[in-house]
Amino acid sequence: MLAKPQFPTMPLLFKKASAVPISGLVVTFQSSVTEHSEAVEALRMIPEIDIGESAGSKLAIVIDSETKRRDQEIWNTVQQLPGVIDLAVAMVAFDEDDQAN
Amino acid sequence: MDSERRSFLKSAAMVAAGSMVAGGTSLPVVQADEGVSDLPVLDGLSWNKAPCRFCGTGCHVQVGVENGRVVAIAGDKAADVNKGLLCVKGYHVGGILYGKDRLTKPLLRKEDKLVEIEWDEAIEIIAKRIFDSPKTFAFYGSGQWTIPEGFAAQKFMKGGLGNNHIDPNARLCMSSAVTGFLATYGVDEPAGCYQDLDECDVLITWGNNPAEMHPVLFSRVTDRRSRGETVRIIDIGTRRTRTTDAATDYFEMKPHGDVAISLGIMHLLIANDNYDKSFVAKHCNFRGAEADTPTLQGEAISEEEFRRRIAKYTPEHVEELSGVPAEKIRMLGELFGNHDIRITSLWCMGMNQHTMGTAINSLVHGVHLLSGHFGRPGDAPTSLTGQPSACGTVREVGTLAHALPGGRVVTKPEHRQHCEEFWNLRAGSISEVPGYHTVQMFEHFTKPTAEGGDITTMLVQVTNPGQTLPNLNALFNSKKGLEDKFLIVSEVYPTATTQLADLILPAALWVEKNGMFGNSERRTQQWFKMVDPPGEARDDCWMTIAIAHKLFEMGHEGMKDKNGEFIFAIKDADGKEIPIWQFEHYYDTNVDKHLFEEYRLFSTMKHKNLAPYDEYVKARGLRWPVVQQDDGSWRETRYRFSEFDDPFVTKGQEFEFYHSSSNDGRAQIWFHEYAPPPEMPDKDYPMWLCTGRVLEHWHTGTLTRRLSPLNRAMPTAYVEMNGEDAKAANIRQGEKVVIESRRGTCELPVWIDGRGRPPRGTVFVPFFDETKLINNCTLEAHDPFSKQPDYKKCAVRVVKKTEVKKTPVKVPS
Repeated sequence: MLAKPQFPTMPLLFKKASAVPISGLVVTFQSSVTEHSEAVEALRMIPEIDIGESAGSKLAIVIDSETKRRDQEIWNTVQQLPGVIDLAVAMVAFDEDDQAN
Repeated sequence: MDSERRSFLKSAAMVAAGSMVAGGTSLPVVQADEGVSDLPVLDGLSWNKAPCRFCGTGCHVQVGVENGRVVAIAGDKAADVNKGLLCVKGYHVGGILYGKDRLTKPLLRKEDKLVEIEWDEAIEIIAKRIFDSPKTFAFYGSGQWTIPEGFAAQKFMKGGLGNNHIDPNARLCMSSAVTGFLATYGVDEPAGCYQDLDECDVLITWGNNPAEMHPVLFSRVTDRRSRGETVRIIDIGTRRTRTTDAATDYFEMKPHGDVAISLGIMHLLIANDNYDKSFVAKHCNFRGAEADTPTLQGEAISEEEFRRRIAKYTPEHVEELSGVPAEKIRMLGELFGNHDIRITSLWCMGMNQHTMGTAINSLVHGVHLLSGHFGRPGDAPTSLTGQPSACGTVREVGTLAHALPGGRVVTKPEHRQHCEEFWNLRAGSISEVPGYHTVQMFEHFTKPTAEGGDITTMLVQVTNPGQTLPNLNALFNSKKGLEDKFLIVSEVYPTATTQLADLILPAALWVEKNGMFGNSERRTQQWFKMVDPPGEARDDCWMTIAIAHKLFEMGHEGMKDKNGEFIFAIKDADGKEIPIWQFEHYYDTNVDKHLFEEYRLFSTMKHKNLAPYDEYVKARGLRWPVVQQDDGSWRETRYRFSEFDDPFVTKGQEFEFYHSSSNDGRAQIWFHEYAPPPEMPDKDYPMWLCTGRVLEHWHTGTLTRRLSPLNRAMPTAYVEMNGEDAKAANIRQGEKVVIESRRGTCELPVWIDGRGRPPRGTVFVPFFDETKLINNCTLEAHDPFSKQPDYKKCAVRVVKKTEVKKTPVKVPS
């Protein structure tokens, strides 16, 4: 081992970005989902969100967006909806386009 | 992604989210045979269990595989550790397999270029170097080795080559925890388990940030609060973190303040006469370091002598040493003196990466023993580990330079004899001389041979020392005069270590191979290979066996057992040897199972009993000691040394420390004098540097930097700075500065009062970023017993980039 040249691709390793994974999420409200109809309606208005079943204060949703920026906007929007106290991940789906490097 | 596939994955995601909603709670509690049935059932998608690849918590995930590819990850609700939850890294763990720059062919450096070669040539090159000079070969491994990988490496080195120069990266992260346990209980690893987090009234985090580093465990505590329970969290640290945000109390200490605080608590327990006299009288001795040559054994001292030594650690003196107000020390003393509450202490790197690491570990154990806050659910001193198998592979298999499997050490003749018998080796095969620990190993590898650098060939597996060693300029970075040295690196991606490698071996990762891990609560976990590795990437365990067999073919006597057979020989039902050294035959049998069943024989001497391999296939891990019951079933142990749960405690004893270093069933309450850190801020280098991790990235970022959601969230390392320090130095948010120490420099953007908030005179830098190597600056000074370096405190200066070498930042005295 001696003074060697840098690994040729090292500085470029982490530059390329790509598609967002599909996320299955659980939205938790302060109280029963039925008491937050405005927030649920707001979720329905977001085209990238599919709404699933609800029970008590929890609501299942899936986010499938085209860009990372849009994904981040949706996360922020959901977290800031009135009555939302938590947003938890249930499953993340991957695809070959999803890696960062 | 085509629309049909996307639709398929959306359906799976919706089913998973729906099942969590139906579960009803954020920490659903399910029985072991449940939890899988409600995962998405879709054509072509199969689910299998595996422990997460990242930290030492040991969460289980369910891995969704479709067409030979991991396509989904879900929390495993049947897993007792995480009960279906995962942290942000865990949910993305499947993506670590699919970075675009996976290493897929062996690469040999020829005339400064890396050229592809065949595996046969790679194995032959390695074997020849070892054959020609077996004593100057070193094997640097990892707490990310699977248990069978570590066991194979251990047998190859210590049994086969008679060479103890094998050490893991865990030397850098938890060896002080090992020596603390050994000094106190005579045997390694925590007595309690994660259930302590569910039952404690008070949780004390000692220099620990579990909110970011062990988020699922921390959520067990915060979840209790959300359900209305009262849990007091006391955060003792050198900077505010996300754990502080959730804490009831925050006590900011000076570096090494933890030593003084623990001494102060014990002083108060004695002075206030509210220590647990019954527990101490029945189950404890007092111990101090020998005056001339301190050892882990120490020397017995009387309770009177202990009282005399600790008398000076009054709250006021502790305030001087630690910076924590005397009234807060008194509050801690009163808490530990209260026998109606349950207290759990939690620590990790803060107490381990410490030049008094063994001492502070022993002292915090002593606080719990003296106060009697021990051995009941919720009353526990608990160290956490940072790697998924630091416990299983390093501490239990014993892949440290002085150790042998199952708690044995190379210096004891009877221990070497056990191993030689288990391995069917000739007597005397194992050397009695401990090998080089990590810092020594790299000192001897990066020192010219003519100057005494007597390690000439090194094989590195599953770790990245080019980024994690302290003082990289001394221990790793390019040097002249090392032309005869040869660095072999088995890796999955290019790293700071592969940059200097002479030979790179492409490795299989996580569910691309069979594996077993051992987590922080003594839980041994198993998983099966689910997908093929890319290109020609291969299992690390196979590499070790293939090298061993090549040496066997070359006539190396150490690779033969007493009967002349290959030391890793596995035979089929007809007695015919299976050629597992040929990769196309490696999975003709379950090599992991063979190695684990062999390793299991070693586990009973220190009462770390393991169950047969097949029991782990059925379970989401089992905590040792695992003991067979009369009905043939296997029972794990949640609480060691406590009669109510530990089958090895003598009936009627209530508690028994059956590996006591004083051979009387008692634990040791140690006294250690406070000592200042080895390097302190001064006129030239006026600030403390602390290094560590962040939520989004795992260790050196080799895996998590390939995951776009994580890398987007935390794209670069930074230096956390106090706002007043920045203002005084005219440093703006985001401005690039140079951190300078006596050993090296690192350029970083400034984050003022960001996620972590250091006090004046302290900066913090995470080490995940391969483009900003903060370990150029850190100090290789290490604990005298554990040999673990201190990454948490050294002296630096912060220099504006426009004024490098001109104006160090001034801080108030």
